[in-house]
Amino acid sequence: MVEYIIKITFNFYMYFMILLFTLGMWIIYPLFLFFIAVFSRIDTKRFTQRYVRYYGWALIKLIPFWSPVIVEDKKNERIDWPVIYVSNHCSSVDPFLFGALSGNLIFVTSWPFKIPLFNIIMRKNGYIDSRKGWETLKKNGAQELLNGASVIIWPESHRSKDGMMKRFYSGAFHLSHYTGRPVVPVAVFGTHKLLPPKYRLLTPSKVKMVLLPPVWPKDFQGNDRVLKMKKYVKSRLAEALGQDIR
Amino acid sequence: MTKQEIIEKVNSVLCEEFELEPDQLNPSASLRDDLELDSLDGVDLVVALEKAFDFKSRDEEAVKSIKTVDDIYGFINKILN
Repeated sequence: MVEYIIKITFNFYMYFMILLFTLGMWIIYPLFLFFIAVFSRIDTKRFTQRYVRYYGWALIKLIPFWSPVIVEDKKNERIDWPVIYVSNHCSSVDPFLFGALSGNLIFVTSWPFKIPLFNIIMRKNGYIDSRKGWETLKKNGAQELLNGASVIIWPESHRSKDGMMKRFYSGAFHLSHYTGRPVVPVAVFGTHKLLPPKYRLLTPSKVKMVLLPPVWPKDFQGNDRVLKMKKYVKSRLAEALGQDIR
Repeated sequence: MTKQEIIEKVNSVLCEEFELEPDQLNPSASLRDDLELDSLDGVDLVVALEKAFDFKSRDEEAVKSIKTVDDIYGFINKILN
């Protein structure tokens, strides 16, 4: 009973705060955009990418899901971004976590492109619709990496229903070989408990993301270099997550 | 190589490289609709088959015509025999 009351209170607080915060952020966005466009030389696309990242960052910092989101950097080396972030995916809150990372970021995703108006803003600001296929990912992903934005890809394509990693698609690894940029695997913990697919109510959970050492495409040679890299990255993530893969 | 050996090796490639379950590999299974392989998987599949069966595919039309698991068996059988 106590647990149920805590959960309902937690959900009321979280949804109210997220709604309030999101409305606030999107109401002031056009004002910022106007001032940036008129009074500064900052590219509005770069500004929007940064703004969305700050939105995610502020959301996880100001309205923590239960306790503050922990970011562990195990990269062990300083690399000049941009990079291709590859992460396990088991909750719709996963994208918000990436606000905690630095630099400009774009997502490769599908369902937000189904939202009217929002899809126009996303497309105009470099976010990539995964349903458009490899040619779009190659062209737009390479362009964004060249312009200094890191690309976030969930290679499972869909959220995992049981929290275990599913089959990986190879777009991220083809993009890595095409551009020469490294893949940084990101292991996300706790979001499956927080909000698994098809659930509406949040369950209090500790959330942590761990940035693993970068994986460089030059370390994989031969015709099957993409397949080798995909397997290697998945094995690194599985190890970090404590999951068995065949 | 016998037809059965080809089937077993192709299935092994599909399970190993594309993380598919053996019970998904019905001969009539569509690569796109049933096994959810995308266009990049198609590219990777040819690479994986070339490595497994030690050949170099030059017939793009034959590759493009592969739609089902049975088409893969036929494609490999034609190349090897």
